[in-house]
Amino acid sequence: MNKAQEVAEEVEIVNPLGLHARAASKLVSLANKFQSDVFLTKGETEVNAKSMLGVLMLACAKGSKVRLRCVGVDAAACNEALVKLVRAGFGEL
Amino acid sequence: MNEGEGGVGVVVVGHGMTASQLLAAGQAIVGPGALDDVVAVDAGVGQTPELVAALARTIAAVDRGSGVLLMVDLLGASPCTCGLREGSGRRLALISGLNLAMLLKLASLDRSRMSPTELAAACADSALRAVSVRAAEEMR
Repeated sequence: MNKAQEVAEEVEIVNPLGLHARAASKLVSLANKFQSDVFLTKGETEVNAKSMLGVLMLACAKGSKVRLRCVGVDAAACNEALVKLVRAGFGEL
Repeated sequence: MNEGEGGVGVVVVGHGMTASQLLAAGQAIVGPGALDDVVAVDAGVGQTPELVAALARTIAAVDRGSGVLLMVDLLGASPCTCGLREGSGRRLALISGLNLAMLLKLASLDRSRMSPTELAAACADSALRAVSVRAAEEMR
């Protein structure tokens, strides 16, 4: 049994449209493929990154910096996959 | 719950063409899957025999034994009252104030494991949180 771990990383939203609905949907779908709890923080607001509405609530435009935090047995893989998606501009670049 | 019967059926009803358009938008955002079996009924300008018939037919069609969630735009308006009347006698829950946030929440819920009332409560919680007033500068 693997031990739960926490991995956090700051990422910048790079796609021109920002973290809009379809992008948020991709992020949330990917986050939900992992067991870890996933949180996204912008400024002082932290939301559940497995919830579409939570992610949208951050209203991230291009250039926004967010902190991604994964907590669980697969935190490292989860963080890696999500950071990759964000840096790839959610496939929109 | 009647497990294994496909879960709670969902009907979205709104004035004008709002139901089908909002559902199409929700489906475009979440992609294929979660909202595919949700059915929209466009109510036009109000109660007509066609609307009554469409609601009766649709509610009966989506009820697979686990009940029906009726999502309407305006509490007490024709799409709402008509839907409730045509759904009477069924295990039905109503949620009003239809919006996109509510549909996106619905897409994330397991309708085979929740009752119509539980689904309505979860959707309402998200929809309420999605209504927010902030000055534009706070969003930066």
